Amino acid sequence: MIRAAVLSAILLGACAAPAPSIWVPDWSGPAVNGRHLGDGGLEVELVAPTGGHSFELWLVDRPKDADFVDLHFVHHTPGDTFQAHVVTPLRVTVDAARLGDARAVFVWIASAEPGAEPSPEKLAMALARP
Amino acid sequence: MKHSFLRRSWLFSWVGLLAVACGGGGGGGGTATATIAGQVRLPALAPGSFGSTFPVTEPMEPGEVVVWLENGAAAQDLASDDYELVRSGGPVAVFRARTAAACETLERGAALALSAEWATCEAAEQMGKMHGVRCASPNYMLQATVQPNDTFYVRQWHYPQINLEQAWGVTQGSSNVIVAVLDTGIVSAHPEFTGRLTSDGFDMISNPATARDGDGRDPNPEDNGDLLTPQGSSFHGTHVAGTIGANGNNGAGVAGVDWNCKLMIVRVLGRGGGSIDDIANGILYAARLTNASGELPAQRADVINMSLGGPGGSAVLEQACNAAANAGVLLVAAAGNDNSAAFNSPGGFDSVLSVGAVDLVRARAPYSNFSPTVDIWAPGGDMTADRNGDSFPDGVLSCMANDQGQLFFAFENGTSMASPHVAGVAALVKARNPSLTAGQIRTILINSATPVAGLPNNGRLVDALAAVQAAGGGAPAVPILVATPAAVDFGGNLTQVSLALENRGAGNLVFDSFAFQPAAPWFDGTLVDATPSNGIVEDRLDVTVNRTGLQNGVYQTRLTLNYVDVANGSALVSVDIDFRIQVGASPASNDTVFIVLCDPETLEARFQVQTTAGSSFEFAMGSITPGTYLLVAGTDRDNDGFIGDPGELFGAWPSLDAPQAIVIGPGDNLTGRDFAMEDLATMMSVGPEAGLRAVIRRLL
Repeated sequence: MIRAAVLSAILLGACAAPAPSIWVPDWSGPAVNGRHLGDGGLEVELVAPTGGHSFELWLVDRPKDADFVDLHFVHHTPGDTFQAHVVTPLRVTVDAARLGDARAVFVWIASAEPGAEPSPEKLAMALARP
Repeated sequence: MKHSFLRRSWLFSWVGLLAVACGGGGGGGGTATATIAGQVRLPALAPGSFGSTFPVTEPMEPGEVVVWLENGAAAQDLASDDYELVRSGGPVAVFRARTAAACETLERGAALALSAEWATCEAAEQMGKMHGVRCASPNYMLQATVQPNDTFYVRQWHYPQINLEQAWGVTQGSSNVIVAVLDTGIVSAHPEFTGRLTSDGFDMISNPATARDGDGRDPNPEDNGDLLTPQGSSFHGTHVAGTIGANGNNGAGVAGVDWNCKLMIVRVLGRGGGSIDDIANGILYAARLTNASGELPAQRADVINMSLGGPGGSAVLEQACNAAANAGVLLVAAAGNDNSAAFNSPGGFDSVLSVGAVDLVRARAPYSNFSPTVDIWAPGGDMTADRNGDSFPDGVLSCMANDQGQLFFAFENGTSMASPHVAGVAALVKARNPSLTAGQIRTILINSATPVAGLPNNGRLVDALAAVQAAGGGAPAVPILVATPAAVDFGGNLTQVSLALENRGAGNLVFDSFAFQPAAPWFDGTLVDATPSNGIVEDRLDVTVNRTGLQNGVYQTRLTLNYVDVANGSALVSVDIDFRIQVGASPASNDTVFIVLCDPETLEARFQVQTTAGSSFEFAMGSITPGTYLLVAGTDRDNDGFIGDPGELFGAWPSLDAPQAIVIGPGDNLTGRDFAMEDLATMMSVGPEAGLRAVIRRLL
């Protein structure tokens, strides 16, 4: 599995063959940050440029026997409505229990305009857990 | 460019770099490759320590100590060879210090390039301990600069940045001036708005679901919350209104730009934002023009602030803006936070003054739009940084509330925060000269603004003092001393900064002295006075730093420059400038440091190694394709794929202030490429000295 090879490179620092660029993060929306919490949890932050955005976690997916966990988020945009021009950090905390003993976390985000279906997910970041 | 750099950097970080570090990849395919090695040093992070006493930087009568006597104590009983009684009356008495301690202090002060003010502070401390004295203080003098006594004013860095303290010496606003705030409404119970709201605010939101108050348009602009996030409602309008007109100098909370103007609250944003219909009618209402509500305010607003916007243009909205402008209203709007040059309305309309945002060091805030339609810049803050080292994010501090009804103060950032600074200054200008038209005020604001190197499109930062002076109404009766920049961080490498000095007021100021408090013998200053004894014409102070002998740490001090107002005897006029320097290396860090050779033109990473732990990082890179590179290093603490974000370490060879390209030839084995990283959370540079940091910030 391609991701398994990438994961090995991340976690082991091995001289693994570089993976295809398909796993390069391709999220092009607002900035996304990840912070490891002291209790093993993870805080994911989307920095919205205006008011009217929301950011929610809808699925935590841990494939059987995998060393990683996929976090699937939805970013609801305000569309073309007029908004307050205040930078608004939207933070979601993922409990340590939901991450289990996964050694890496992949953050996927789908964007949804008002009244529309979410767009295909993009990879925003991959984090090795401490 | 930004995203391509992100991807490339990320790829190198997680995949490609491992190959490079292991000796694979990066080769020139038959061309002899090269190596490069060196050491990256960490910055000093531990704060230095200082003693503290009375502020020697404030203007005072040198040598004079004013005391408050205990009941029954007599001023004459305190007089001695050391303390000469100058005058007394009631519980207050003034003494002149002539103690041996004062003399010693004077001698020490001279050695530290200090002045008689230091000795006066020492004497005041001694007198404060004497029997019969309740308290004592140097005999400080009032001056034209006004520093409000609001509790949290010290955190409102964004006001001195635009010379508001000096402007408040000219005017603090007028209750005859009305500023309309088109926003989410207001939490009127906040004490900062006591007596400041007009009685004819209006809720222009037509959709009850958006308004969340059970009805459509109504005359109550109270903010019922927009519940934008799981954290709760934004109460954005309360923050914006606080910047324009929170009660100032009232001993509590924060200060607004204008302490006396009236605020007309027009609610146009609710749950999910606002509609063109509601916003256009809100503009018409504030301008006292016929609108869909059928209501009119008693008096039209002089200024409308709109910290809001949306993509693209709207002919209907532009018509409303044009109508309000034609009715004599100055419209001010945020430029938008998309970090782009895209058009944003209503800020982009010709009839609207569009405001971009700068951060604490007057650089374009990383989110601010920079379209050519941006007319002026103002502080909007950057919450990802703490460049003044006050342990708070560099946001704009103003009024706030929450859905539980609590009232407090909070930092925010955005062009939403920049726009009300300009609206507030416009109100001050109108107060200074009520006969000015909206068009004239707009011209004054733009023409009096300060050009700032690096701002897009030759951008200018609003200057409150220059604006109120340009408003006319008679020249100020006092001299006003202004230093630019108002704060300097030398970081770990910068060694010299020049301060420009001006008298923006009346009279003739002649240089007298300068002093650092706390003492800072590692700083030295040289005054360049083009016309000695002939006033403050093109004066300049060159400040240099010598880090020799200093222990590792971060050191802060304040420089006070004193000028004599020759038209007013010995009266001193002063200005303060905060300085900060960094020395040496910090204790070991667990940071992962990425050392990158990047393209000097595009800044795209070409070769990279990474290392962890330690107080310095040895590095060696091999298999480098000959070429010209920039050598940089930094951390990626937030794992976003960028090095050198605010809050992260970043450095460039040979220094961040003056990075140089490295030409690597075939077979070269370069060594000794040592350089230091800075902590971008605490680093503050000015003007051209911003060096590579400014470039990297823009690209990131």
